[in-house]
Amino acid sequence: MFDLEKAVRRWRRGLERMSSLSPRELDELEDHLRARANLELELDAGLTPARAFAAAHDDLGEAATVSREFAKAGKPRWRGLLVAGWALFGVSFLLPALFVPGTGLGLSRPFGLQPYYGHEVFRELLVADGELANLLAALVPNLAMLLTVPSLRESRGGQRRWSLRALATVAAGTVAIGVLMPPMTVTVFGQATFVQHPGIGFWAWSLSFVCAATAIWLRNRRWASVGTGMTTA
Amino acid sequence: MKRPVYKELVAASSRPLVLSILAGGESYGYEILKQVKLLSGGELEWSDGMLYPVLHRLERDKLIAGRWQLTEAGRRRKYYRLTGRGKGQLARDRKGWMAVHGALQTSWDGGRV
Repeated sequence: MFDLEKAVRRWRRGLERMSSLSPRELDELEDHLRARANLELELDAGLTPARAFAAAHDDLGEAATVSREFAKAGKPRWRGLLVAGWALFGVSFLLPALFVPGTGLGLSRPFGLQPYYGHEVFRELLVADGELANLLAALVPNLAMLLTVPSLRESRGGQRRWSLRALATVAAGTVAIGVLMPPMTVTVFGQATFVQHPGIGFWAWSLSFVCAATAIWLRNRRWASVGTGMTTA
Repeated sequence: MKRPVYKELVAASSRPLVLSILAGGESYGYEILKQVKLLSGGELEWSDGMLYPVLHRLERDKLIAGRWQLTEAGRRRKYYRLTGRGKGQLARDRKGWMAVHGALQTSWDGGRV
């Protein structure tokens, strides 16, 4: 005996597997499929539910076709933001992270590299010197960025709240450090150097976390299934 | 037989059609599809899978706004309505299509300018 509910569920699971549609998009297509199947039954009383479902199903198209149509409508915006975050993150390692009065942009090193990276400013302010401190300062904030690597590639997946929390914390922390950093003296190549405030490299670094956190937030919101904020017709 | 309303024409007219239909009041995907068929006397047939990407693009461009509601059967359904921005776009689309229509009509009537 044909069970419409079961057929709809099977169809949805198939589409979930074969396409990159979000739960919200699937909700809408499911509503459409049901409306279509009901209409077929109303139009032709002699039709079996199985035939009505098949007709509606055929009109909606295969998973691949539906997915292609959705892809034509444009890429989701969060992905562009995440790519921008990564670009800033990369560029930040090539820009001076500390501003030194009287030297223009900031400190420079042979090969155009800068003696300080964003996370090193973080280390100067938060922890003492030492190998372990260096490692922790480099790992903790930058790791939050690495968490977004899977999101760069895959177009579907569940929500990752913890990765959003980590990114948001680092973003807020680095912005706060940038704003609150006092003028200080740091040692560069064994030489004490006075720095006034963070350089452009630091801001690019902290902005990359803001971009990534916003992107993941938008992505999670898109993936959230419908259920809240609904009113009754 | 080739369809008189070919693919490119369907794509180009999708925005003004959806906006026009929603100018008449809030509606949802399946209902909009039926309206398109009715309005065109069956000449214009959109594939079921094509409508939703169009709706989502218009929503992303803030020309229409969607909201979820529960139907009487307790199912979720997304309703769309025209936004202020959508009204402006519809007015511009209307001008454009009227210009095309006017030019063709005059030409077919044997008119010379």
